[in-house]
Amino acid sequence: MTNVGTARPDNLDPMEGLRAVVALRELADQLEGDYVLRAIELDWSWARIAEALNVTRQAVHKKHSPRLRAVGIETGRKRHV
Amino acid sequence: MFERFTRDLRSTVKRAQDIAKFDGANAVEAPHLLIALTRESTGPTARALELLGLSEAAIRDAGDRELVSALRAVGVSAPAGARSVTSSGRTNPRWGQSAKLALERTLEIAVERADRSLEARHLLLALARAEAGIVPRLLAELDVSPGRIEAAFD
Repeated sequence: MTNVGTARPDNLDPMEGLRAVVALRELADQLEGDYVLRAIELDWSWARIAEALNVTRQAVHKKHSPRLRAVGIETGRKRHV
Repeated sequence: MFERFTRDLRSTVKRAQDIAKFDGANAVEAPHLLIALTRESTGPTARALELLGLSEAAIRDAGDRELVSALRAVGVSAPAGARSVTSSGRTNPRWGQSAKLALERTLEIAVERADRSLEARHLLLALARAEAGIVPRLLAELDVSPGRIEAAFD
């Protein structure tokens, strides 16, 4: 595993560094939402999405199905296989 | 705490929830409270916000710039279309820590001033009291210092 090429902590003000941590979480959440939607549109199964995200199928389904339903995408039983 | 909120402040808080939900955010955070305040049309807080140039559009633009600059600080360039809100699936956003702190400080400020009811202006002053996190950076982006906010009510 290599280190990501980010600014070194000793060069960074904690005010900026800690804000950046939160911003990265926001960005990761945003990307997760966008790409899960894309995967569902491409007919990926929840199991495959879960494996790609390295979480359980239950976790990914619980987190994303309400929003997908809200945008009119039905995430029914057939995806559970 | 909520029982001491004026009806206007309660509707501001409710509006912040609606804004967070509409944005598809995970949580109601301090910027949602700030945007909710800008949707008041009358009263001292609406006048103060106008004086400070804190419109909803200005706050949202500054939020987008702030996110990009926050990521750039650690060497990450935000992808095109990165937003300052997230959408990872909650239909009813929870209360985020920045918003909870702002509401606690709203009470503190009213107590300090010996004001019996909690009003929108207390919330705006409370938001400006944040020591770290997104709000101070957002206000700096908008060139609005906490002192200027205090002065806008004089």
